Amino acid sequence: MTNFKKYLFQVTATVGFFLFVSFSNTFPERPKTGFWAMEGKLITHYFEEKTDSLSGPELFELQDKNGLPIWFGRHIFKDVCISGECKMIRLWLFWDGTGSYLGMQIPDGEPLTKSDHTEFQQEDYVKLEGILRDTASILKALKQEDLIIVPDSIDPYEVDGYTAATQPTLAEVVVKDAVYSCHTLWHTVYGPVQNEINTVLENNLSEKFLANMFASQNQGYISRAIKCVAAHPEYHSAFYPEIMHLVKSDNSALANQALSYFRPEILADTVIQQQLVLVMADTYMNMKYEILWKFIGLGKVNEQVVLELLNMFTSQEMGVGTYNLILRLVTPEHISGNEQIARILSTLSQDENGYVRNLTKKILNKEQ
Amino acid sequence: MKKLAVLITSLALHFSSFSQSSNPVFLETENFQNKGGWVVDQQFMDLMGSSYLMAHGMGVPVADAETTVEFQSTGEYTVFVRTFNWTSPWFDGEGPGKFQLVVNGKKTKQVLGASGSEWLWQNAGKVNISSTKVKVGLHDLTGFNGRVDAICFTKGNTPPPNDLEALETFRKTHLGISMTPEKAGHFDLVVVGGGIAGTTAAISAARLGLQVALIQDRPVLGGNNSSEVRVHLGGRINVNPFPALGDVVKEIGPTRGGNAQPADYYEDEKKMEMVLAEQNISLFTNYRAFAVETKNSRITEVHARNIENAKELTFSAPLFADCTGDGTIGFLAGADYAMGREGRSEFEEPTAPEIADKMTMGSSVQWYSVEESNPVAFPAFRYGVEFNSSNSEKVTMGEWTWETGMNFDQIYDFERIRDYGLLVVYSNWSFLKNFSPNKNEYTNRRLEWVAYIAGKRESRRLLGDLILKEQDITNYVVYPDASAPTTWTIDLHYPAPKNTEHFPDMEFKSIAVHKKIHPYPIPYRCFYSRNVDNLFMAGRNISVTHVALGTVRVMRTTGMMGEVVGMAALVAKRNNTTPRGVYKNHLDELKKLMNKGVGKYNAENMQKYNEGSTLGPKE
Repeated sequence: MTNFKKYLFQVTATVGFFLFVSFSNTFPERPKTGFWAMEGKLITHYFEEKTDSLSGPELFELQDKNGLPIWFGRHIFKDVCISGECKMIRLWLFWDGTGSYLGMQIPDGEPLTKSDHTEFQQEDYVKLEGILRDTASILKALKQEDLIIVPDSIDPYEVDGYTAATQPTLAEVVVKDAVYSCHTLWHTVYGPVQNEINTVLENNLSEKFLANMFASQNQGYISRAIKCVAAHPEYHSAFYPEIMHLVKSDNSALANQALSYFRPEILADTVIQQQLVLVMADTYMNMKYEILWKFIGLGKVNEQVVLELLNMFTSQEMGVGTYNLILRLVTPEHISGNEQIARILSTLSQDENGYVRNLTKKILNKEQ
Repeated sequence: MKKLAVLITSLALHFSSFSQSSNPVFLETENFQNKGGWVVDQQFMDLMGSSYLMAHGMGVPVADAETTVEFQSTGEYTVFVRTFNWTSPWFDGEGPGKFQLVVNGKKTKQVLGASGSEWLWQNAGKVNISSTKVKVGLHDLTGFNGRVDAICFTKGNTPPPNDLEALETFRKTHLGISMTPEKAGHFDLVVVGGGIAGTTAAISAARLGLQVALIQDRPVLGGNNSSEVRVHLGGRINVNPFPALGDVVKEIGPTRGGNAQPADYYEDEKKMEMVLAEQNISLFTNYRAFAVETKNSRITEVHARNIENAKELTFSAPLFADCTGDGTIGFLAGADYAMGREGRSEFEEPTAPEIADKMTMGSSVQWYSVEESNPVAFPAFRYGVEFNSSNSEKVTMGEWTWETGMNFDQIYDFERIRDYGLLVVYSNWSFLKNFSPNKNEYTNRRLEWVAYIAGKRESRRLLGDLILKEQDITNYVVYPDASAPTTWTIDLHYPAPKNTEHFPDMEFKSIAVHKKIHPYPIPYRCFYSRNVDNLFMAGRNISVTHVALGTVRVMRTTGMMGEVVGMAALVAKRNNTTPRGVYKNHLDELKKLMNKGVGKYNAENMQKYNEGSTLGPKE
């Protein structure tokens, strides 16, 4: 073997060794427990993130039998650096089918460690979970260099992250002695991977997919489905009845989101107005008021809406507090063009309740 | 007078050409028949003698105001206009509030409103009057709050007096206003101030059968919760020990919360119609109380002046309720009062400063902008307070935190305080729109609303038989006359430190420092004056220390105070006694009423917003 061949062999062997080591680091064996033990169809999406190349190019998705994502998972293998000194952390992060953080899985024998090299304890993991679930965490606005304070008495050039104190306000929200890990992981959870998940979900969008989302009984999925329909008007006609139905939901967050779907341009459709007013009978008081305000925001509503609201008021399905709001919707055309509206208002102008009587008279006088 | 005398704008809008008996011809601008885009501002009439018209166009010139006047004779007149440059405290040059006088369609040459550091008569030049019926108008040039109190046409060269007392006589003489006010009537209770506290006090008393006069110096009810100020209600209602208290608040309260929101959020019409529905209330909107008659430490009459036509009325009653916020009625009647912060030694309050001072919480000038589909210009506005990239507020709205005047007198400096609020809103907005590196973000934004009625938090506190202090609340010292609950934190405002860095002694942003409390029932003795025998109080001018005001001042709480005062007025009338007599001899009667409440409509409780944090009921 010539010297050159020897050299080439050594280089090839060395590169091969490092490739092997690197490859095995990047793609460890998948765990058999936790998220990975869940049943479903595993899909692999390829995703390149230059700032996080060691984690590998794969984004896994586990789908249920309806094709809805159970989770998205990614192997994370990246460095956490403090004042120039770096250490690697390895774990699996998971997001749910809406892109929200779902959980983490730590490889056996590779616990997370702190800046003093001690291992994370159970309570540290619990705290970290809480941090990663907090979409509005204080970490969101902080850069790495914001994470330490340097006592005045110490020369800043001699201080590294291990000895400097964590900022007092920050200390309350991060795992003690693991501020950099918390920061790195939070920004990983809410970074490019989440964007990629959204892209995958967007690409999966179809009528069938949305129908499954609405039928899922999963608040997150339903919420996402409403957002999707709002962003894709081509699905409006197929799904707005579903969304209208959700206005009656016992889940107030979902009900409010469903109501907010009905923006003025959608509510301009008088058929939808009439459907929405009929929904009111089955909603809680707060939602009744919200719908009323929705109509007020619209400016002008169909006469059938006014009639239905007046009927609900006279049958005491709506309380006295709604009456001035209902009257804001009444126009001269409603009164002159709809006998029933005129008749109800005429009756209410003689109501024994002086407040109702005066308000009604005022609007009737105004319209004359 | 049994029923409503809503002597609102319509009265003033009658074709009321002044019948001028002789030279000079004197016009009050607030009485113009057509006000165009100008607004009536009455907030400072106690200070400068009158309400006035103001061109509040938020940088866009407002439509002309106009009126028709009859002159006795034709000829050449010198015109004097009472106005001033409202930015003069901060800027030496010409002010932005420029306007011109228009006589028979012709604008006078002089541009007014740009000079002068105080209200004074400015010579607007000479005009030839060729017929006895003359159209006089005000032409706004900037939309930046030019203001005009009055106009005087004279054939001489002497302006009317500027001294307030002499000017008052001059006004009455030349407007043909009687020196003796007309009697509005005799009532069981006269409530002065139609904010939330005054409105509930009037409703409460009326529902219990008292004949009530409710005097309010604006066309709408609700005060800080009206569409003119736009602060949402705060605090909790229907809590122990008298869960029926708050039922009226529930009826009149807007159904959705939010500060500095569009006007319809505040449901002015609901408050108004709830009052008008009460047969026993005579409502006098647009009347501002300015004087009282007293006899033997009792008020016998309150005098009020219409803010548009200057008509004066007197109201007599055995009982009065001061719900003015500023404690105006008590002050005029010589009631003991406090203002500013007590020193710690006075009440041993932990939160009080070591040394007493005059600092108060401030007044807010709230505002908001909207996004338009096309670019919207805003004039460069630089009048003494410079904004730049580091000190500007990069926002699209300003709510309660836009608070000014903490180091000024909230009574006597109030016009300056309000004006500074306007000045910083315009100056900051001008920077964002015209000079900011991020001005592209504001290209399509339009200044939609800026309050010209400032939302005041604190001024005089009238002193009662008990002055509620911090430890009463924090130590939960419940008195036998426990009544309306206060549930808000002890929420005291201070200049925002960052704002102080940029604008020392000229702050316009505030911070709130909270101390949580258990819901605490305020003693009834805080609701009547200790030295004016027939005077109740409800609202922020009750008998509390500065620190205790921090919790009681929110409007659901003040509304419940009003309910209690209405009830106490019935007890006082029924037993022919004073507010103090109610406490001393008839407390059980009051408690029965507080237990029962004065709700009428079984209204749904939509008052669940902005309830504030609480430690929960005290075990």
